[in-house]
Amino acid sequence: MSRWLPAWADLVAARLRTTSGKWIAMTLVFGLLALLFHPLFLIMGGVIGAFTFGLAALGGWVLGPAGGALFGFLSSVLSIPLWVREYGFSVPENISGPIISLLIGYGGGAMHRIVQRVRDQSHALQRSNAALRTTRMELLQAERLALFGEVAAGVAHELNQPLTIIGLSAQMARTHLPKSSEQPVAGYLAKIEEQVDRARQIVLRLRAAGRVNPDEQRIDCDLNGVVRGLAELFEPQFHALGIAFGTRLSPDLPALNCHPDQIQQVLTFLLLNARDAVQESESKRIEVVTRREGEALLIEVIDSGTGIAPEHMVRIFDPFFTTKDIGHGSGLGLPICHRIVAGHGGTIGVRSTRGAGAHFTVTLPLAGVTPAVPEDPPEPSAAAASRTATG
Amino acid sequence: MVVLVVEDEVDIRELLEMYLSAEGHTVHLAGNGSEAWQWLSEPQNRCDVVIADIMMPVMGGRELLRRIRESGRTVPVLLVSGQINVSQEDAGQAGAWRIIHKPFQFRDVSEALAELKKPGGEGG
Repeated sequence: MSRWLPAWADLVAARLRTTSGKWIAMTLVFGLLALLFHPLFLIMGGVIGAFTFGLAALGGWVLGPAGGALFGFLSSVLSIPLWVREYGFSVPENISGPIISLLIGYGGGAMHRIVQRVRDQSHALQRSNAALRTTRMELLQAERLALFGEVAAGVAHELNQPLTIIGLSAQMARTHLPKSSEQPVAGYLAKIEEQVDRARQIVLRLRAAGRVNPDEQRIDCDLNGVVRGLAELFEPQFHALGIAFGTRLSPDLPALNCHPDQIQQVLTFLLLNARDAVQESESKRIEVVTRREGEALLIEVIDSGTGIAPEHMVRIFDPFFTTKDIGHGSGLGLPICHRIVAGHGGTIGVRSTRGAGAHFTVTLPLAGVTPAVPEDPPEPSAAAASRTATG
Repeated sequence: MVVLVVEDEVDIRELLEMYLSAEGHTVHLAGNGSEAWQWLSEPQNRCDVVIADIMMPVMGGRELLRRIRESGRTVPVLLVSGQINVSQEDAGQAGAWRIIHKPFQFRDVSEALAELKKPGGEGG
């Protein structure tokens, strides 16, 4: 519309779309019809009045109280010749008409302001409700993370003692083996050490997962290293589920200044999400790609799963939105990922075709960008106006 | 080197003793910080490095470290931690020379000691 019509027409159209705007427009149309067919109606006075007054009210709606009053007054004055031609000159009628139009124009404007204010307030209420929900959700998640951290720390600590003893004993046993000893024993000891090392890696990861430190400083980290660490952790599980899992890591990526634990959390969620998505599809493939694009590093998680329904696309970053069965998805993962990535000044997006998998892209700027504060959604009318201004 | 091993877990203590002795070090053992402090308080007892667990009954490694530093001793202290949340910086601030996390390997200990022996390494 804005392409062919001037800006004010867009504004009128926007106002007409509101409920009160529609009523006023109907009055106008009715008045117009009555004017066109007036030979058929004998009681025209009221009809012309309705038209004039309707016009005044619309003027007020569009232009505001002062503009509406002026518009109502002028349009009514201009309609006086019509009135006089139809009914003859009458001082009370010809004076009261413009005054009433002026009042109606003013009233229309005032009413629009009131409606606007109520709408603004209800929008503000909605926004603060949403903010409250987000805060509550973050609190819940923080609590959950803290609890998980405690459990992880406890488990790590409990496991550490026996693991240390097993590992050191195996090493010691190996040093006590005579040089000529049979190979199998040395092999078994090596296996014990190997497995202790594996368990040690798991404990280290538990440690990393349990660390909840909001004041943690950003550090320069190797993004590929983070991906590799997680890939190692997920590989056995994916393999057991018959999922073909691969990584394509761009070599020579520059160091990324970030909270590695948080980035790990995002990637963990995306991988778990991909795992659930491919569960029911015939081809089970998950791939993680890292690459550089301009001044940003990208992590992509691509799966061959069921994909995301178009109607769900707009909602997947909403808190508590989940399509998983009760008890299987909290609907918090993606919003938290979103928040973490936003905290790094980056973005997270998804492309998906129903039945052909999903492709999540996390973009993290290399420059230490200050965390982007999520803005409130713009006013509908303001958005329309800004679209007009720029389009 | 003379090494004081402070560890409440008897198996770990003994394994460390066996290993370090085999490496040619002289090893003294203590079951907690209090025992270690007593040993250190004897004027004839000297050591080149203290390896101390952080979590021990009676007196932990941190308290032992505090006492050692307060008494003006500069002996390097290698803390051993089974806990999370203890970083190299934390340990450094507390006056420890470095920290290793459980489960550790003999290699971790010998690497740390080798670093001490190097010219310029703390405690020289």
